[in-house]
Parts: sequence; C-alpha cells; structure tokens
Amino acid sequence: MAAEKEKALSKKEERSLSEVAKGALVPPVDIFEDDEQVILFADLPGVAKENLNLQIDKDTLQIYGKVTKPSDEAGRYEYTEFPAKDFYRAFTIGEEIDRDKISASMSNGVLKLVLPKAERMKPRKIEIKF
Amino acid sequence: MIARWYETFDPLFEDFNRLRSELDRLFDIALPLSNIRSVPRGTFPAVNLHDGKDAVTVQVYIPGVSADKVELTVQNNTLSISGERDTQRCDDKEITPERYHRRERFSGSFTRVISLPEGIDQDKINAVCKDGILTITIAKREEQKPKQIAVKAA
Repeated sequence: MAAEKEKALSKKEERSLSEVAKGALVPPVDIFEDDEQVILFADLPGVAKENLNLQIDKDTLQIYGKVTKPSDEAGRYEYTEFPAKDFYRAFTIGEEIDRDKISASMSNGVLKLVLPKAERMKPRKIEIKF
Repeated sequence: MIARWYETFDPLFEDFNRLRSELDRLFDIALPLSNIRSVPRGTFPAVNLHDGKDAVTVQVYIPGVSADKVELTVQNNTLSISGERDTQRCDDKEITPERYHRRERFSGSFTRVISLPEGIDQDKINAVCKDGILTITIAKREEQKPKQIAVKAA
C-alpha cells in the first residue's frame, strides 16, 4: 500500500513539469550524433540562463524555459507573430547516454546540450586474430 | 519553414494538437483572404511590433545570431533587418547530413522589411540584442505624442 502510494506520488512529480508547461511553445531543435555523443540545439529566444530548467528522470529529458513577459505598457501590438510564452519539450533517452556527464550551455537564446555516450557503448574496432 | 513555433504543448492532447496545427498550416496556405503584408507562418525571424505612447518597439526573434551579424536600416518608415544564421556548424566543424536525427531550426540568410507606423523619429533609434531577441526602440516625434491643452477662462 505504502509502495503504491509512493509510486503515485513519484508519478505526480514526474508529471508536474509537463503540467506547468501546458500551453507552452514547442521549440524547434536540431539533434545530431557522432561516435562520442549526441548533441541537441534548441531555439529558446527570451530565455535567460537562470530561467532554464533541465530535468532528467530515468529515461526522460525535459527542457523547460521560462520567458519573462513584457510589462503591460500602454499602446497596442500592431502585430504579434511570436507570443510571449514559455517553452517546453521532452525527449526519451536510452541507456547509452552517460547521465552524469551531460552538459548544457546557453548562448544568444540557443541551448546546446551535449549528451556523451557511456564508454562501453562507443564503437570499437574488433581486432581479428589469425 | 518552422511551423513548430506556433505549436503549444498539452500533455493530454499532444498528438491531437500536432495534427491540428498541421491542418491549420494547410488552411493557411489555401486561405482565400489574407493581409497583403502578412508572411507565411514560421518565417524566420518572427517579428512583433508594439505601438506605444512614446515609442514604437519592434522585437525580432533571432536566437543564435550575435549582435554584430545583424544589419539594420531605416528608410522612409520602413525598417529592414538582415543577417545570417548558420546552424549547420558545431565547434567550427560542419555537421554532415547523415549525422542528423532532427533538423528543425532555420539555417541561412534572412531579410525582413517592416513598415513602421507614421510619425517616428528616425534619429532616435536604439537597438539591443539579448537572449536571442533584438529589441528596436524608435521614438515618436514630439508632435505625434498626445498633448494636454490648457483651457483658459474667458
């Protein structure tokens, strides 16, 4: 019973970030891979470094960027192509990613996430003996 | 190009929303009536224009573009923004196409021309780039600002 309760509780926590992010914009990303790592770039204009929330829980990677809303100044928007909304996107990652070595940096509103592969998962050349 | 800018996240209807936004995009193309100056959804960079009391503010969303790579000109009430964004390089090395899993971000050169409201002062322009948003503030001419007129007793 207690275990079940705990499970329900952890599930609630897991959901919390995605619940907060309801209605958020889905940022465009570039993801590419080489032998050493997987690299992700995400466009998050208006998100300062301190307002970025990155979470890894088991196999889920969550990106949540908070956008500071502009103060309500007098006047009107002639046009708005881009709403002032937060950003949210989540991905699942496999066992091959070394969770402890993931690093992130922000520059000009672009997030760069480096997900190194675990040593044992890197491609290896197998020597053939005669 | 990037229809995703307008997609919003909903944990319950994620897939449904994706379908809906795809349909919206389709109808957007086929819509018989649209503003002559409107641009297709997902045009890079996105622009917001705010007409305030003392100034006109233009926000240009250019994540990944450094301030020195943007060219701004104002002439005859039109503002033109151009620049380049190369997303196909990482640590000064080109990313070969076969290494990509996803490629959703805009890459290439861009130009946008925006017509500004009447009565702006072309000599009082200030542009600041922060966190991937370029904010251009253009002051309004004095005669355009609302004026209080004192009423004298006859």
